[in-house]
Amino acid sequence: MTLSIAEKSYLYDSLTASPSIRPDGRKPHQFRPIEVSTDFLPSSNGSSRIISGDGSECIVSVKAKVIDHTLSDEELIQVDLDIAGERTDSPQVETLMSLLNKVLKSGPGFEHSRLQLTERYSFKIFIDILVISSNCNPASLISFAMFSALNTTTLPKLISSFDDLKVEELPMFDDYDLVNLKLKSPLVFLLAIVGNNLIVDPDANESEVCDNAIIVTWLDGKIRSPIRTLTLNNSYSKGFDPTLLQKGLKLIEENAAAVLTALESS
Amino acid sequence: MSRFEIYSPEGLRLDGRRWNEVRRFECSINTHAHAADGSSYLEQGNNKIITLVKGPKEPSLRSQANSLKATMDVSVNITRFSKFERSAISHKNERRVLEIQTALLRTFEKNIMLHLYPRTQISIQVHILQQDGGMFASLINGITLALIDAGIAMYDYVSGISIGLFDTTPLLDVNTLEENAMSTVTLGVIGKSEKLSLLSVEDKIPLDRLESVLAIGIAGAHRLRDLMDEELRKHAHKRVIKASTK
Amino acid sequence: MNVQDRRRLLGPSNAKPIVFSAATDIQSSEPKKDESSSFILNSGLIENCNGSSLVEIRDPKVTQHQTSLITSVYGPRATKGSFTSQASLSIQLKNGSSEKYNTTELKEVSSFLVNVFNSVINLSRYPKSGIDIFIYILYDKVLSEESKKSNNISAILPYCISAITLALINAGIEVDDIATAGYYKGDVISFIKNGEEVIGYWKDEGNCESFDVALEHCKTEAQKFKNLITTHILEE
Repeated sequence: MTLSIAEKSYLYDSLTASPSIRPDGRKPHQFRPIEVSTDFLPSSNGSSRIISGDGSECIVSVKAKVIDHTLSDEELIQVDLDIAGERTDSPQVETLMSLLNKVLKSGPGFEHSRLQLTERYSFKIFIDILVISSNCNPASLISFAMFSALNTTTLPKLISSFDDLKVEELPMFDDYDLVNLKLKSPLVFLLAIVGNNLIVDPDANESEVCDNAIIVTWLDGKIRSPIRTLTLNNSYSKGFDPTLLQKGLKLIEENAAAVLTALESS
Repeated sequence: MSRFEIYSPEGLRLDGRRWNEVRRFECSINTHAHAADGSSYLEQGNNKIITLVKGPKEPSLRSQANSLKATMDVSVNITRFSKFERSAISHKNERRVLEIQTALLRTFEKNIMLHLYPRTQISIQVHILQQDGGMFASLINGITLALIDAGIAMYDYVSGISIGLFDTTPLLDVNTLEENAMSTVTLGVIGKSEKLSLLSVEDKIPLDRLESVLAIGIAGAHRLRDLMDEELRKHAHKRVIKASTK
Repeated sequence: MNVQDRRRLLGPSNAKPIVFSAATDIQSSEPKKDESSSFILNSGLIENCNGSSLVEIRDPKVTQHQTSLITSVYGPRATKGSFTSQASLSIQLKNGSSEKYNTTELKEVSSFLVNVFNSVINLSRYPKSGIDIFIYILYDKVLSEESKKSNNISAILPYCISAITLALINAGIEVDDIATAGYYKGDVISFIKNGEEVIGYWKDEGNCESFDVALEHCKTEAQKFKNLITTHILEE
């Protein structure tokens, strides 16, 4: 769905108006409705499917494997992304994958040490993301799906002892009992800048005319890295006032908690 | 292989079915109305498959256009998490996947009235979220449903089924454990007829047993066709009611 | 000859074989103490391309990395296929140094740089054409101990931006302004119009508590790079 030059210009003018008028009548900080369902893949430890109102859809599976963390210092969470119709080495996929791996890097509030089983062994978590269809940048949608999947992930319950350095033994798990991992992963927000206005969750048409956009990561009430600017189109991209950057970060800080509660209640 | 009793003397299989019973079969169509022209979600046993059909649309490359009939392409995406153990490598461009794609293309080329849509392209995308034996057969069912949802003219349903041969007993609609333990045959049956549009044998099978395998396979495929037909009619009924109450 | 050989990757038509000059006395490579500038800018070194630059950052007191970047710009050159109303930009970043950078991360940086320069280059001036930029990290050494651990690519982003700007100017491609960037504790902010407009923000580390401080620091650093580039252009 490409817009004509006249349509774009009309859309740009209405978005830069004060207050901005969005084509679907949303407020600047309002998201599109999303639908989340979780735990539908019995062979994965956690799974979620998220559908946005415009038909963008993303499926996330979380699988765990026990590894000996004393042997290698690899990251305990690994993200793998597949966008339908895109090659795995296309710039879009690689950029997004690199970003998502950075989002899930261990840090205060999101410690990978939670995955440690015993002195010797840890769970390694594989997050596989399948984007079935997307009309605009799917970073935000993916992060919501990852959050719901990790939030509902269950792992086998350990019954052997934690200290296994002296006595060589493999970790033993309970036959039935599972423990909820309850790992709260950071959320990613996409914020578009149009003129002097900021709008969250831009749709495909709004992305076509925005000057610039910011990807912001949020965890536990705080903005954290990675943060990036990116342009969502070629024709309208230009610089913006530095104060907008501050305003944008504040806007996310104010509204992210509501998104978190919405995701948790699902 | 003797760890499991594939087929007990009492005539029960691992999951409690008898030799001539199919697995749980649930399907729905028009599941991704915004993303594609036709779509279906299919659960056959523990297989979970999403199928999207895009088209008939203008081909992305002019060279793909055929002035006599529509061009078709099928892409099968086996996700890394589809099996119980996560696969370390991606299944894209795997030889087996490419073979399945070609086989599916051949199966459906004969059954779609491609001559009605000249200079267009019909692309089919299949995502396998979970697999549990007889995947190839489930793909056929998923694609049939999605094509019907897209409103593309076809001669009849194509229903897929896989049958294993355990010693002398044919077992209908095999799961992973059975598939690994014996040689299997996959059929694509056209409608209620006894015509096959696909017959795929990847292992050895005694020729004198093939007839009984085909007989139960065709009967099973007819049953699946009925199940799909029932669901489609239910769906159509719902849509008509929705449209008339507006 | 208009026949294109599709089976091989050919070099540019005006490529020449390398001819080495006769060996001269080896010059001492020890840096002189009274070297006034820690930033060395050079442009137009590569003849095959439309514009090129060499940026070297040496002084360990000023920066956390010792880096040398070579950038070449090809274009605007005609693209095949249908008409497009504006030029398409591509940037490829390659690592030739001993520092280990993840290849997906390099791709991410490349696409960030494309984003930055999409808003600077006057793309609509060049319809149906492509501008290809290649940056090669010739040498890179992390100096400070703390950034050694994290193996962070952020710190060399400002150098990349300056190097591309210089190469673009050398190629004579129209830009809105001289784009430069500054780095401060994990934040990279790129500016145009004397720091009045931001064109890129990249943050890989830490929280976002002292954004104002970072903004000011980056602005002054970006200004410094801008002055260096302008003096270099004027000298030429």
